[in-house]
Amino acid sequence: MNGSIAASPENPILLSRVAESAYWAGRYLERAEGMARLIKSHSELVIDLPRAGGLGWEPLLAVVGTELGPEYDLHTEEAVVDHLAHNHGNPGSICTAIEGVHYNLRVTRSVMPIEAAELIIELHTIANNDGRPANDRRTRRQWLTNIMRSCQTLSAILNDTMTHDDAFSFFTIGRQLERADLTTRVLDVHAGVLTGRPTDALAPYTGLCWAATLRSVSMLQAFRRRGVSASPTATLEFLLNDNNCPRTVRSCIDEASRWLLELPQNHEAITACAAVGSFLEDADVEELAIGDLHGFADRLEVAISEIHQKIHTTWFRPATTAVLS
Amino acid sequence: MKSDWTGYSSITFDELVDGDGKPRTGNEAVFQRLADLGPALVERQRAAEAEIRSMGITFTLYTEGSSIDRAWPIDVIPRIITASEWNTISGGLIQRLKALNMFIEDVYNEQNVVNDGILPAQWLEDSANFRTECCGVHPAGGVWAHISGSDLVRDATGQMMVLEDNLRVPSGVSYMLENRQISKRVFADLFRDLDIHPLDNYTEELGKMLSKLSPRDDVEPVIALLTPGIFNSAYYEHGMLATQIGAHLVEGSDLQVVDNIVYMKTVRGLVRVDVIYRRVDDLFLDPAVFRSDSTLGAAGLMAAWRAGNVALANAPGAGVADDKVLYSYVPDFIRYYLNEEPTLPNVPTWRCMEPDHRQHVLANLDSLVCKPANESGGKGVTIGNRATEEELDHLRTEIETDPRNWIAQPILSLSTSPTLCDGIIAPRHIDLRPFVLSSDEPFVSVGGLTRVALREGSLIVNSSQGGGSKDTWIVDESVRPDRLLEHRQPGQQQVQRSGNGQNPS
Repeated sequence: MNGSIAASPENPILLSRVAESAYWAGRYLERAEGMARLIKSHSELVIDLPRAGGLGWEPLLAVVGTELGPEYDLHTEEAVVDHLAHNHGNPGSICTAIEGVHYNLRVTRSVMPIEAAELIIELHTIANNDGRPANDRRTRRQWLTNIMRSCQTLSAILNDTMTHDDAFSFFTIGRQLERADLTTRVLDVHAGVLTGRPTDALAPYTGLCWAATLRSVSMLQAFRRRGVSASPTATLEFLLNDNNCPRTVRSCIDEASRWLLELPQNHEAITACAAVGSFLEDADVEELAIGDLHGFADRLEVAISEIHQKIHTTWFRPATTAVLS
Repeated sequence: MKSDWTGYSSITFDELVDGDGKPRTGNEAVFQRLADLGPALVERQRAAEAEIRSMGITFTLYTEGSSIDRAWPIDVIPRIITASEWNTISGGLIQRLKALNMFIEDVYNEQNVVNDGILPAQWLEDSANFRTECCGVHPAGGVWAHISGSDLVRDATGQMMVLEDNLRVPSGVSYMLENRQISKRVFADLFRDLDIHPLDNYTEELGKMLSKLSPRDDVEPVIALLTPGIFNSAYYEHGMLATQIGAHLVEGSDLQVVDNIVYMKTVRGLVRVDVIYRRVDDLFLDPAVFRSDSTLGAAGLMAAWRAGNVALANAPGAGVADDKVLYSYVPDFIRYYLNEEPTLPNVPTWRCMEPDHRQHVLANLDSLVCKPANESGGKGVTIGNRATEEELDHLRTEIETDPRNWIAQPILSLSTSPTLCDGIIAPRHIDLRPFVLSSDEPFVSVGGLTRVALREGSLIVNSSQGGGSKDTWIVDESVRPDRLLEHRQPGQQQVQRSGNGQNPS
């Protein structure tokens, strides 16, 4: 088989189905954590901003590309948060993502460390706790923090104890692509509020809004340490292209590429990553900050999902498969 | 003896104490320690349940249209068998499985057992698990049922007997192993003081046995555990066993058969599979041969097996002897194939298709247990003295319509073991499922899975029907209770007693 790296005791055979589950375990884990952080930072922003500014809860729905179902009467804060945190019928909710982690980790059980299996049960228990703690502002913060912390602990256990084999590659690639995707979506949604002409009431608070954007992808502190003033262009450039902060789109794509290199027949997926890389390089942040950030983010999302498509057709559902001797 | 056991008594044979409430030989030390623990025993039970939840040990219950994962029910009071008795039991199991494997090999080939008049041809042909597709095949070493789990019960006289054999896809071994993990954690002190035989070697022996089945001896064998998938009630067990023996946990869709060779689809291409430990029923193994609607197996699997290119454990068709009518002949098989007397007796069994047996059964329905010949998990079983008139009438009609499908056995008063029920120690009926690995070096798990009927008086031990489980300790008789004195904690209160010794059963 040309260009294939054979399985070895250090890198044992990985079933395509298990690889797919490792990848989705990574994506869902990142999704649960990202969604929790997003709701948390949006809550803080809403509390800070004057009500006249008209910043509601709908932008959050737009991030995950979802609408409230008929079970919700009004677009109240409680309805939106419930939908995004607790609604098992919403494929983008925290609870659904944790179900996804739970399911996929059961499938990948044999390639995952046992400590991780025990923690996922804990995470699952937190997520399915009685009541709907995210809906109430008083309990929301603590619950979201617990979710984020458990997700991070789970990531850390997997990072620190899992053999760096194919299964780990797929898990990591899944996490990185989901993270890149989420950062892009956040930009997309905040684009409406933050670029062009903010409403008069919101104008004094654009700095606050940009800070919230950074915070919702956990990059505010990293950005401030750079000592650059929080202009829209600097923020955008940072979110898209910074090499060092692990949550920028560029870092995520670079990291995904790095792990893709470990896999056989990676050509198409690597090429798709490179395409995202050039797209980011060519971005004119000056113009985006006052122009069509929305369209840009859309195109970036499409480019990222192209990587996913290539991974899917190369490893999970290949058209033909060669026999390994 | 400590007084808090004085209230404990059983109407039948009790595993821990004799009729005078004294511990049986070999049980003294455990009896003493449990008595010393007093109310702390309840805390250990809670600790065990917390462990189970945090380890995620579950089994799946199916209700209408949905399934729920339930925490595995364990009772911390161990079931004890002395090492000398255990030697006899495990010898008896090896003898039984040897004869059963010879029987299966025989019925798919020469059928001498029929030709020599031991088993009527009709009963064999009518066995629901007799697979003509397996005729003429000779699995390596003549072994068909590589992994089996026979259910043993003890009657009121203390006699151990075999209630049924499970030669298809017996489950429960992971719970046996987990129960030990749990009891080691909650009774760490007892494990220090007593010589409790370890059972960790089961999975190692399983892996070794499976490896030896590989048709290729020039490469490290690739072993796969074929599971029906994540929604199967035993998925937890499949995952645990695969992990422990280093097998790939595969589903039917992961397999592909090309030119009678079985491959699994991996991210690096197709990889040949040598041995499949299948936890999928015969009829779902190969849609090209059995049920064409099955997605749980792989087309071509049977052909690859017949060609000798892959080993299947257990072999298809091994369940032929699970038929309860054929079960009743096992003592004859042991005499016929091995020229030995069976060490472990069967439970006396009436075969309803034999006119005189049927007559007896129909005249005594209310004092017998009637079982369908080819069901498992307690399905379709009617216990005569607990059935309504209507149920018995219905049963009578069923037996008269299809006598081949029914057997009857006396209602056994299964032995009891002290069990914590809402903080009170009370006798509950139990059985035992040891696991036997058949090969040229047969192996019996050290002990087995003890299942307990948690409802008072109930004889149904299945976890799907309110059953629980216990760790099973094989202990040397030589340990004396005085060895334990130094650990005794004075001044502890005692566990609440179970009534006045009036424990209806």
